[in-house]
This record gives sequence, C-alpha cells and structure tokens, in this order.
Amino acid sequence: MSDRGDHQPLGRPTLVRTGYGTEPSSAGRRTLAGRAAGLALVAIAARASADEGTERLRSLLQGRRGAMQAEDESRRLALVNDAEAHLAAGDTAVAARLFEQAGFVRHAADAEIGLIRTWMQQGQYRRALAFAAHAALAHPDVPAGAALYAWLLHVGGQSRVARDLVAKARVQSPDALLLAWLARAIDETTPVAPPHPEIHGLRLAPYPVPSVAPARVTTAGVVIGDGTRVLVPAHGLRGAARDVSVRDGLGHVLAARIVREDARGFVELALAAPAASAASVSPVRDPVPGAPVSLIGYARGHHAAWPHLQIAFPALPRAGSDPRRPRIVASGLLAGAAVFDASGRLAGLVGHEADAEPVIIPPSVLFDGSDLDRMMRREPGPGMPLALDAIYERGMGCVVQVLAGALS
Amino acid sequence: MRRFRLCMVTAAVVAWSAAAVAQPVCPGVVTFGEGERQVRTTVANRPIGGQCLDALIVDTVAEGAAWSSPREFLAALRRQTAAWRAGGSLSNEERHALVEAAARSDVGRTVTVRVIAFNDFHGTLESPGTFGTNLNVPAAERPAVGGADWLAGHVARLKAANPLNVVVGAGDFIGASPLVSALFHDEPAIEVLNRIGLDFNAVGNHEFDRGAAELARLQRGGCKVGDPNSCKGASVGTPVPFEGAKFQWLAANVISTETGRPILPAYGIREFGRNRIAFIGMTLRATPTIVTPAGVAGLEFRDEAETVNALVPVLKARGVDAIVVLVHEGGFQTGAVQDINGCDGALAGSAIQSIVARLDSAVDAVVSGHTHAAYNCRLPNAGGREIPVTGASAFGRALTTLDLTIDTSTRDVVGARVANSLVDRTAANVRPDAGVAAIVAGYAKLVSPIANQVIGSISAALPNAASDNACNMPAGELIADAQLAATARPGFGEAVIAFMNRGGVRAPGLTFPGSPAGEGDGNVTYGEAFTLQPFGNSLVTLTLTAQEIRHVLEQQFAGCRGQSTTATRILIPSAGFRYTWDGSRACDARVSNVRLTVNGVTDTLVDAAGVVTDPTRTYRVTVNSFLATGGDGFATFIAGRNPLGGAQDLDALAAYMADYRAPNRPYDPSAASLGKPRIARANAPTGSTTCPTAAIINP
Repeated sequence: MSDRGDHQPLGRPTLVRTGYGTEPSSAGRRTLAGRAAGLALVAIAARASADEGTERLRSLLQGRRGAMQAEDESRRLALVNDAEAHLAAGDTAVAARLFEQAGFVRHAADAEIGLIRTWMQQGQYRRALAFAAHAALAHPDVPAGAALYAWLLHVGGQSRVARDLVAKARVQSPDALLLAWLARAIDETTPVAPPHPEIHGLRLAPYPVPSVAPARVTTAGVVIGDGTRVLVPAHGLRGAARDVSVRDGLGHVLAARIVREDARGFVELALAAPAASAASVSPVRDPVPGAPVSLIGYARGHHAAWPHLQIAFPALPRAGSDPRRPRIVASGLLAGAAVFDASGRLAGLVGHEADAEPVIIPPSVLFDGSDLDRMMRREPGPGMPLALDAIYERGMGCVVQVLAGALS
Repeated sequence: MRRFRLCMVTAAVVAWSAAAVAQPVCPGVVTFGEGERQVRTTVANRPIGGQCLDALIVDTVAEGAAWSSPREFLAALRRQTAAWRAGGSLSNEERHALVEAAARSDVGRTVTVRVIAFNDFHGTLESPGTFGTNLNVPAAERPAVGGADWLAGHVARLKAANPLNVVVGAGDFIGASPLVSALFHDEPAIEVLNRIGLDFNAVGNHEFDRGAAELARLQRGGCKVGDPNSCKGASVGTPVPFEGAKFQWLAANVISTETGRPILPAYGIREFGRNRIAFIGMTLRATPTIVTPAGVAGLEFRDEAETVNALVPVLKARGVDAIVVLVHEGGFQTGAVQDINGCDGALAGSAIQSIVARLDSAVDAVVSGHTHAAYNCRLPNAGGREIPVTGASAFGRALTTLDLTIDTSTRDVVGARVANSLVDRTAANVRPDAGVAAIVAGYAKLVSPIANQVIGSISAALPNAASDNACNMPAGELIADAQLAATARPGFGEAVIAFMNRGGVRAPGLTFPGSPAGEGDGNVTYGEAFTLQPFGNSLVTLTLTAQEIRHVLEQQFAGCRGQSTTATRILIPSAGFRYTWDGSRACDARVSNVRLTVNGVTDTLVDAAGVVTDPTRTYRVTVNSFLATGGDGFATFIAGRNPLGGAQDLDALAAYMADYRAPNRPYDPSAASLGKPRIARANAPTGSTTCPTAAIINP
C-alpha cells in the first residue's frame, strides 16, 4: 500500500489513498485463475462450471464480431475513397466530414492522414501539424504517418526535429522508400520540392483546383491588400505574357494579369477573383537588420506545393545601396518569397536579380506611391511575437507560385 | 464535519462582533435538501455572522454536503443550533423546528460526488481546432475547442458546482503529442495537468512510448540528465527541477515481471466524509502489440476485467463499495451522427463492451478511452446491471461529468447522472486559466527553432574576459563593431565610434566548440548571441565633443569624475578607435594618445601629453541605452546631444554576423583589419597581468 496524500494540493477536505493491490503468491502468478483463487474462491468455482458454455458463446460472438468488422472495414474504406475524391475536387468541407466519419468507424492511419491533408488544403496548418504528431506516433507501423508529420515540420521550419523523427521512423521501418526519400530531402541544404505530388503513395502537396493549369512555375509572389493584387519580383517575369496564373499553398489556382511594372524591381498582378486568405497579410512593417524573420516561399518545382518556411537574419545593406533594402539569404527558395517579422507582419518580398545578392524589398518601397498603400496597415512597434506555426499558417495562403500562361 | 466545526467557531466569534459585520439579505425560510425531497421549515432565513442561516447549514451538493449518515448530520446540526441558540441567533422553538425538519429530510442519506473525466489528452496544450457535439453540426458552426487553458477553465467551472469532486483520466495523456509538448518530453503536459487538478489517470499505451523508467520519472519528477530540452521550467514559470505529476498514474494490470507487482498503484481512493470511491486504472491488455518492444520490456499486461474483478474484494475489505474503472480501451458508436452523448449501437462488438460485460457487479462506472470516440452509454456488466460507460473524444475537446450518488448506509453508488460536454472556447460562463495559458505560451516560444539558427561563424573563441592587462576584450570588440556598423550609415546615426560596457557582455562570450544543439564548431547560434547580450538594450547614437570623449575615458577609473570609488570599468571601443591609459597617474591625467581612424584618415583627439587637440570638435558616438542613461557611472553620456535611437543590440550583432556566415569566411578576431589592440596601457607594474575592475586602478 502506498499513501499518496502528500501529492494532493493543500486545503482539500478529503484524503487520497492508492494501492498496489495484494501481492499474489508465486503459484498464483502462474495463472490468472490461480491468482483469483486466493481472492474469491466462490466466484471462480462458479466460473469454472460455466467455462464450457462460455467458450461456445465466445466463439459465436467472435464469429459475429468478425463479420461485423469486415463490414465496417468495407464501409470505412468506401468513406476514405470518397473523401479523397472530394479532396481532389477541392471540396474540403465534405472531404473532412467523410474522413471524420471513417475515423469513427475505426482508429486507422489512412483516414487520419487524409484529414490532416484536408486541413492543410484548408490552410489550417497548426491543426494539421498537431494532429499529424498524433497520427505519426499512434501508428508507428505506418511510415506514411511519420513521413507526413516530418514533412509538415520540415516545411514549417522545424527541420531538425523532422530529421530526428525520420531517423526514428526508419529504425521501425528500415525498408520504407518513402522515409528514405524524406531523409534525403530534409538533409538537403536547400528546400526540395517533391518530384511528384505523390511520393511512394503519400501525397505531400495540395490538390490544384482547378486541376488543369499551366505547367510551368516561373517565380513566386505574395497576395496583398484586399486579396486582388499580387506583388512579384520583376526578374522572374521579364518577357512574360501579360496573362499569367497564380497558385497558392492551398492549391487554389487563379487567373492573373500584369498591371504594373515598377522600376524598383517588382511587378504588380491583378487577380481575376480575390484570393481567399489574403486579407490577413495586411499589417506591414519594414524589416530590421539582424532581427529574425520568416521567409515563406516555394522550392523549385512545377507542381502544386506547400510552401517552405526558413528563418533568416537580414544583413545590413551594402554601402551605397538603398538603406531600406537589407540583404537576405533565402537558401534555394524561388524569388518572391514573402518575408514576415516575428509578429507575423509582412516585412517585404525577397527580390533576386540575376547577378546580385537577394534583398528584401520592404513595404515602404513596395507600396510607396501606389494605391496599394491605402490597403495596408502599418504597425511601427515591435509587436507581440507569434509562434512560427502561426506565421506559416498566415503565409501559406498568401504566398503564390506564378505560372507562365493564362488559366484556360 | 470539518465545515460544521468551522461554522460553529464563526458563529461564536460573530456573536460579539456582529455589529461590525455587514449583514446579507436572507430571503425565505430554511430548507433541508434539494429537489423533490426538499423539506421546508417555518424558520425564517436570517443573517448570522455575515452569512445566511440557510447557507450555513451544509445540506446540499453545491455546499459540499458529505455526511456519512443522517445521524451524523443531525448530531452536527444539534451542536450548531445549540451554539446559535446560546448566542441569541435562534430561539429554542426555532432550534427544535430545525432539528425536527432535518430529521424528516434526506440529508445524510446520500452524497453526490462529481467525477470529471477525460481521456487521450495527448499533450494537446493548444486548441486542436473546432469540434461539434455531433457530425450533424455543420463544420462552419462548430466552436473552437480545447487548449489547456480552456480545459482548466471548464474543469474549474464543473468543480465549483460541487466541492465534492475528483478529476480523472483514462490514459494516453502523454505521448503522440504535438511538438510543443513532445519536444520537452511531455513535461509541459504534466505541468498543465497538475494545474488543471487531475487526481488520477490510468496509464494508456502511449504512456509507455518511452518506457516504464521514463514514465516513473514523469511521475516522481526530476530532469533527464544531459538533455537540453528537459527541465525548462525557469523559462516558463514552473519549478526546476521538473516537478513530476501531482496526479497519480494507475496501472493495475501492468506487472513488472521482475517483482510480480504493478509498476504503479493499481487504484486510488478518495474519501468524502466516510464515503469512499475507488478508482482502478489500467491500460488495454494489448498494449505490447502497439508499443515498441523497448517501451514495454520487462512488463506483463494482464486481462482488464480479470484484474478489476480480482481487486473488488480487496477494495471491499478496505470499506470501499463505490468503484469506478478508468480503462484505456474503448469502442465506437455506429451510425453517421456520432453525438457525444449518444450510444448508437451500444458499442457492440467493441473491446470495451466485452470488458464491461465481464466486470464484477460491484463496479459502478467505467471511464474509457483509446478510440478517441465520444459516447455516453449504459452497458450491462457481468451481473446484468447497466452501468455508465463513457468516452470523451480526445485532445481535450470534451469532458465527461459523472455525478455519482452514493447511499451513505450501503456506501454504494445508487444513481448516476452522466453528460459529455465540449470544452468550448467560446463559452461565456468559462474563463480560461491565465496561469496555464502562460505556461503554454512559454513552451510555444521555446519550441521555436530560432534559437538554434546559425547567424554567423567565428574562427576562434571570443571570451568575455580581458585578454590583457589593458582590458581589451574579444567579445566586447565584436559587439562594439556590430553596433558601429548598425549606426554608421546616413540616416541611422552616422556614428564613427561605439563603446560597449564590459558588464553587458555576458559569460562565456562566444565559444568555439559546437553546443549540444549541433550547430558545429565555430558556428554562432542566435541563442548563443542572446546569451551574450541578454538585456534587450537599444542603441543610441549621440554627439559628443572630443573633450567629452576624454571625460568618458577618464570616468572609467574608480573615483574619477563621479565613478564609483570601488569600481573601475574599462569600456571596449569599436575598430578604428585607440588610446592609452596609465593607472599610475591621477584622475583626469590617465588617458593619452586617443586616435580615431575612419576610412583611412586618422584624427588625434588627445595627444601623447594628454592634451585634447580640438576640445569642441564633435563626433557621433553609439552606446547602448544603459550607458546612454548614465549606467555604470558614465554620467557624461547623459550630456550627449542629438540622440538617435536605433536597433536592438542583439539585432545589430546578428546583422553584423550575417557577413561571417558560410559560405563567407568566419569572423577572425585576430584579423589586422580589426585594429587590435585598441586599448594600450602604460606604466603597469612589472609582471602585471590584471585588468582592473575595482578600487585598485593599477594592479
């Protein structure tokens, strides 16, 4: 016996006692019946006489349960397949409901993974990430669970943790090709886009909606203001036709048109329809050299993708250059990555020139002399820090891939 | 009983100090009990000692009535009413009327205990999103739920409605948890569960993810030795070392093969007066099939129902007849509605149904988990008695409230009201727990990878100690150079000199070997830079004359120009600034050869004889906000003109180090371009190696 009253907060009117139960005899430890015999002889005697009948009943029940389980599994798989089809069509609300329903039939990895991808396609990164942690560790026998969690961590800037996670998963599943690919991709010094949206059976990207879209990604940009404008570094669109398309991290594809080319190195696009999640990008503040920022942009690749987040520290501008444009290292990201400060405010756009160092084009330059300025809310102070996953969630809907060619 | 004694003392004290106490309004008459069986008296409710008579008599659930029998209640009432009569608060007739009515009431025949339960928390410190009471609620209308702060608020509200309560869990409270808890070995989850007031928790399969030894550490507290992510309480406001679980994990069916005993207590007992409830806790028997073998090595997991049934006589022998099983095993409802208070399909064919069907009839309720499903069922046990069987979803999205009514004569449960409810983050009548929210916010900040980001690299260590007896300091020189760089450009201060106070350069400076974070030798992380400069000072650029700069330099020495008589504080200047000091000389005569080189042009501020060559010539000088306001005894900086505020000192350092990040060459503290040594010393005693820091200026 062990009295654990010492663990109770002071002032409680009641006592707490806990016990380890009785110490079974050495013989009793050998069989459950023997152990119980020391405690309740009468009950055991009654049970023994009923053993035969109980066994028959158990057998019948097991047979019935087996049939029920097969039926349930069939229903569950139908729900999962139906959900995936709705997700591919961009009907995420229905997909989520169906994946949920499948999850209520049986606790299984495929429905959980589907639900996580659905939340990603809805822009709910934080929710997806938290549940991915569960799916990964609750289903250690399913490499896709760990792989999805690791990839979400990796794109959200937690590559170190992702690497450890993959290493542990590979101990459990040493032959999993998915994990082997993931280990290589995470170890790269620059962000890697999956060569195909589906890697060894696991989709690591949103479904593009509509699915028919121009195939070539030329650069990236950020949706700003009221969600109808996109700012893009000029370098990636030199010589491009005026009609292009953009695709966000949720897979939405929208038609866009070049409406302004600014001599300071960027281009403004007008969207045919407002992007869904852009309004949240409104607060802006110029970057402070040395203060950590989050760059959210895309790895080089032509498929729909979830963007990557990198933490960076803006360097002082070179002597003689525009003092408002800090230098920045954006390892391997496409030009046009959005820059967010520690409070999640838009702090600019990464501009790459052909032979020059990448710099941050800050809001004070991007919106100077433009009608966009009135759409943006400036916040001069340092602001409240925002968690990195919240910054990623804010960014994934407003950072877009720019596709060469019009949306047919 | 305890409450009644308190009331009696209160009544006695109040008898002679009543005039000083504000009296409440006490409507109606005194009643006993509640609901249909309530007994009304003719005795008017009235203030006694600042409280109403009816409220002073502890006879309802909300008042925490926990009488072991009607006789006990009556005896206590007789004593108390006698005291009130003696104090003049009651007449003899009124006292008799109260006692007679009490004898007719049900007070003391039963006691209602509130069991608040949840399961599969999985360290979900932050809201897992939205959730509905069932799948018919459209997604857009489902409220945001969960989060440890709101979970604490909802539990507190449920507890406030019945002081006789106990908070329990059905396992998987740790493991498979989000990064914000998992990265810190689920210590955060336990710290918030402690503050939520969890009393007992069954082990689940995930409690064994990291093995029984780690589970034991989490139960008893203490740090994971050598692990930088353990015992982070100092950063989040919780005790260090890690406090361990204040609740008791229960593991009735988890047996150590070495000792033959459960690895943790099999059950816990709560007493409410003389009424006792036992909670038997356990995980599913199949745990070894779903946990890594290393996690369950040396453990045997026994049949759930057989374990419970074997414990029933043990508990009865201890006078416990109310038994609740906390088991980490569950089931699913059928159908497409999945109402959290439904039981569609009666969990048919599920593991939990099978377990309940074999439970001894002495078991009164089962709190289950594992499947993450919510249900509110009544299922038959082995004796055919239907008992509550509950599940509350997962991730802190829902709570189960079981109000168990215990017959005080038989000590058994005679009634149960059960409801599942959402941990709704929009509930107007619930206030999230600010203390818990602060802990979660603290860990959310710690989980950020920013601290481990490399901001640059160095080719050798830069200590924060003096490198010679002239008081040059490598780490301080780096900081001064960074501050100058941040404030040199037009519009940013146009500074030509920066001074850094050596007390603001914290140990150990910048070390060359890599840290446990794994950044590698020579790399400097943002966290290391923060450790070097943790004060969050901003930069200020001021205009000083050559004469004032000389005063600043003289002010470094103990007792000179208002400097403390017990402290000598040699500043570290930026590159391009050089001077000589002589500790053998008197105040205002110690500094000479003060020179400044900017863009290859050298200007002499103070010559070799100690004469200021052009006293009124001005210079833009950058210091941190501490020095700018006269910190460390440098009052001369207060007189600086045209102050311009700038970046944070840490930002300036990170921006400067960016040019020393791979593939660029690392910062080389011995590089000729850095103009070292910047401080020279004359007439030091033979063999002197010491940089002065106290009253002795020429050690």
